[in-house]
Amino acid sequence: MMKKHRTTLVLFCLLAVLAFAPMLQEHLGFPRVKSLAGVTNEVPFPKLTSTTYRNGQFQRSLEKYLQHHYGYRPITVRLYNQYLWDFYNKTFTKGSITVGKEGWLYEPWFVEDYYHGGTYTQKKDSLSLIQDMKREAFRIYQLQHILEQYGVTLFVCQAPGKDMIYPEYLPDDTVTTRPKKVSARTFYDEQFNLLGINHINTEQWFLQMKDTVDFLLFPQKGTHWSNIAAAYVADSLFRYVEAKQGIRMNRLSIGEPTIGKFKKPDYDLEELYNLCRPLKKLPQHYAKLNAIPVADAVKPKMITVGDSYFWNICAFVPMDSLFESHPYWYYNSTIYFDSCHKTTKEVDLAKELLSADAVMLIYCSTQLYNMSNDFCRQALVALCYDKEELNEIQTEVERKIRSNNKWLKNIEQRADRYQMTLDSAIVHEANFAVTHDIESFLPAFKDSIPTKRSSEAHRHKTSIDN
Amino acid sequence: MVFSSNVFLLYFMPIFFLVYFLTPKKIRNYTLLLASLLFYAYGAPEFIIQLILSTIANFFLVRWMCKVEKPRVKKLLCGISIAISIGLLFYFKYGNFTMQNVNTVLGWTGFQGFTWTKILLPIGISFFSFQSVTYTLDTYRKVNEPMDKLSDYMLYIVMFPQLIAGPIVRYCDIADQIRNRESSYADRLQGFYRFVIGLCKKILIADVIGFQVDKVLGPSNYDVLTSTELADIASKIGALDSTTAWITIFAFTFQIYFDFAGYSDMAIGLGRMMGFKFPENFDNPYVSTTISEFWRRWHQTFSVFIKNYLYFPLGGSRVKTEARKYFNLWFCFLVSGLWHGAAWNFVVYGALQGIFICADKLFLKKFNERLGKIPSVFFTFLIIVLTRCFFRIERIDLSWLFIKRLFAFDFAPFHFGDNPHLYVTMLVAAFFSFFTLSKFGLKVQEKVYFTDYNPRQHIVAFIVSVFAFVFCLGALNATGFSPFIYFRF
Repeated sequence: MMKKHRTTLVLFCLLAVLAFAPMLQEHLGFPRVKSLAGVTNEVPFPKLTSTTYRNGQFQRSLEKYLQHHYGYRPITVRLYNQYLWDFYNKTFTKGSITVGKEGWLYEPWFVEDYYHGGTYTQKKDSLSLIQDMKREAFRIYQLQHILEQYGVTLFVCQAPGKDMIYPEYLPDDTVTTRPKKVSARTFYDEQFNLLGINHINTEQWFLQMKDTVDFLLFPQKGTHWSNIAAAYVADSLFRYVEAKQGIRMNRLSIGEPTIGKFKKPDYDLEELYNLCRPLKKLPQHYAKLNAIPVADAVKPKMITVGDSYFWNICAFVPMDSLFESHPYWYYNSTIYFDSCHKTTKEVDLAKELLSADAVMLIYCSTQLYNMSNDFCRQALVALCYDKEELNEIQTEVERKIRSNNKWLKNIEQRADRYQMTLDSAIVHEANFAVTHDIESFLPAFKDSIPTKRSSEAHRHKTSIDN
Repeated sequence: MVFSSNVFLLYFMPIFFLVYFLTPKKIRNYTLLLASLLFYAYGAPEFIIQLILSTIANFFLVRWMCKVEKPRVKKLLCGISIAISIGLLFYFKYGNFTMQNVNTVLGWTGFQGFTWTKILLPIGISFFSFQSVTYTLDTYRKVNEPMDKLSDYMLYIVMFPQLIAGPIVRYCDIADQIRNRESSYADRLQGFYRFVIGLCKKILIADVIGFQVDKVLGPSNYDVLTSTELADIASKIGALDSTTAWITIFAFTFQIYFDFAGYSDMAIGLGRMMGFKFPENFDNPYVSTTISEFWRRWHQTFSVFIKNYLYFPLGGSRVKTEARKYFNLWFCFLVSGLWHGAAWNFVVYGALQGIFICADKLFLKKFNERLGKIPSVFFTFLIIVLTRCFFRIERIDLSWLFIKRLFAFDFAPFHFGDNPHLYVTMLVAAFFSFFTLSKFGLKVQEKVYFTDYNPRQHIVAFIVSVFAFVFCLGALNATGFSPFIYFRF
């Protein structure tokens, strides 16, 4: 009897401690637990007001908040995911992974793009998608020519999708009723050739290389090109900059590829599964990367605007030994490798561009649909117009709106819908028109290559000429 | 607040029990009462005042009733007390339904309908109204003395483990425990184990199956749907192949059992941790050989309530004619159908159950006896499965359409690989539903649920429960949150 009492007492005390463990871990942050991989929408702590409490909004939001914020959450979720994976070959990744043949993993939009083109994932019809891409290609063309006048090389690197390089492991297409629509990959390639835009399409190169090299160009459980493939791409890109700029850079030496311990992001898709145990994977090759100094070498400044494909390059290639600076404008939003700026909003765009030697746009096949993430438009405006001029044009557009009944009525309706005053809706509309539909509202862009320049561009040109 | 929510599992439960066990025994009831009011106020802030006021009113009415000598006044006060409880239930639960039907009839006859603002249903009203009725009647019948303290009475009505979805605890069963109860460490642990069993039933079985049911039949409450969404569901049901239809209705049959039994386990477990012994609510209902037996095993506390407070007052089986006896039976099931929800599908569901009960008494029971145990279990189960169509699909036309799809015999090939998680979970559900058909199963059940554990068993059960708790937490947060089906009733 005594023994039973002692056992139950000890277990009860242990239970009491365990019951408070998640609460304590969450609030103290100790012990640290490896967080879950992947992106989740950050749920803020809900605001408690009499209204939100009485209508139940607070309670619902609190539950949502707690779903993401409780101690040891990663452990509990990993445990359940491991069970789902072991027994049913699935986990909750909210549709961000497609399982292919022989354990190959793909992001579903690559599969979609491979079988049907990008129209479906972009939720746009072919025609408007083509128009958007045509306009973007032309903006790149304009920007390339303007920057060239300042000695800056703009070029595009088209990174291949895993779907194109390893289609043999794609799952079979289950949706056969949808016709294949426009693909950004081929469309941009044609446009770039037509307009004479500097570009490197790595897809064909990868396809040729695929059967001649021993290593995987894309890892079985990752979505980006493998680290070693990225290194070879990087070498070609740097040679391209050298040729275009007419300079000599330090050499990138790529050692003998050998099978090595898996490095991030070579299993980035697997990581999204958030399992307890790693999955069995095909071996991955790695090589030592070094920068070899070259006499009279120049270290240029290169700005990269692009998607996550550049991560493999900047994370493993000794970029500091090759470039004076190499800021990475991730999706033209967050800035990495720049001690002065954290986001592109903070940057004086014209000044920054004109201080560079090369600007690279690097996008993979599915991200090409959002090519440059509005960078080209912003850059063109910054190089051709001053803020004051834009303000004057905007005021003129506001006046036009007020005198155009149809336009005004349209804005009135929108103001009503979004509960704005009519004046602020007009200002909003005019601002959007001037800064976004630049071809229609800014006179400089009526020309094929705009000749007008902003004060910053003028200043820069004068200093070069002198 | 829902037991299978993060707020409850990670904050409310640990903090409550810590405070509860640290408070001196004398004031533990106050701690529990306060926590229960917080529990209700969190989930239904609009109705907490109404709950408190109606409880206070009922307490003083019953005290007055006990003090008066004249039987007629006593009866009148008893009537008023019941009228308050049932009146509130009727107003909140059936107000919308009644007005909707009245207006429909008025529309048919060419009159203009009444203007009526839709009323929200206070969570748990069906359960705490019934409990307050048992208090009034048990006291009136002198089965128990009335409570001395208002706080004790309030505690009986609002105690959080059983406030929202039962078990419906009769006053006579719990009066003494409210005044005086003990909970050993072993009780607290076994209560926790029981709670975790319930949590597993809910999260690992009911929710997994429910996800698939909702995919086919839409959300369980059609009131919240727009006409376009309803039309979507109708076209989905109309296009169902028989294989999917059968899988869906079997799935729902398991879902509702594991959902509700899971909740009851959690409530009983929480009660046990505090020293309460709540009555069992389920006794392996799917192993019943007849429909009558099924209703003795399913939602037992509700069946007992209906028997004691409706069937017997109607005269029960001691009536003059056979016809009246069958009418009493059928009527009780009609009422119990309507109790589940204010909609015609629940009326049909109750009426059908009543018909089967009468058929049981007339011939079905004998027929089942001839079939033998196992076939009669499956025959009864099939009846339950089919009648569940009217329970799940809250529109009679859609229920009927669904039944047509069941018997359309256009079976699509079944592929286990299409949704192994669902099928394995259904198999697990089926296994545990019919486990006690065997003596071994009964023995295991007795051991797990109703036997005091020795130290070694405690250690094993503790480890398993903690692991299962963590696992459920992962499942809950990897898949999302879902409330209990019976919370709506």
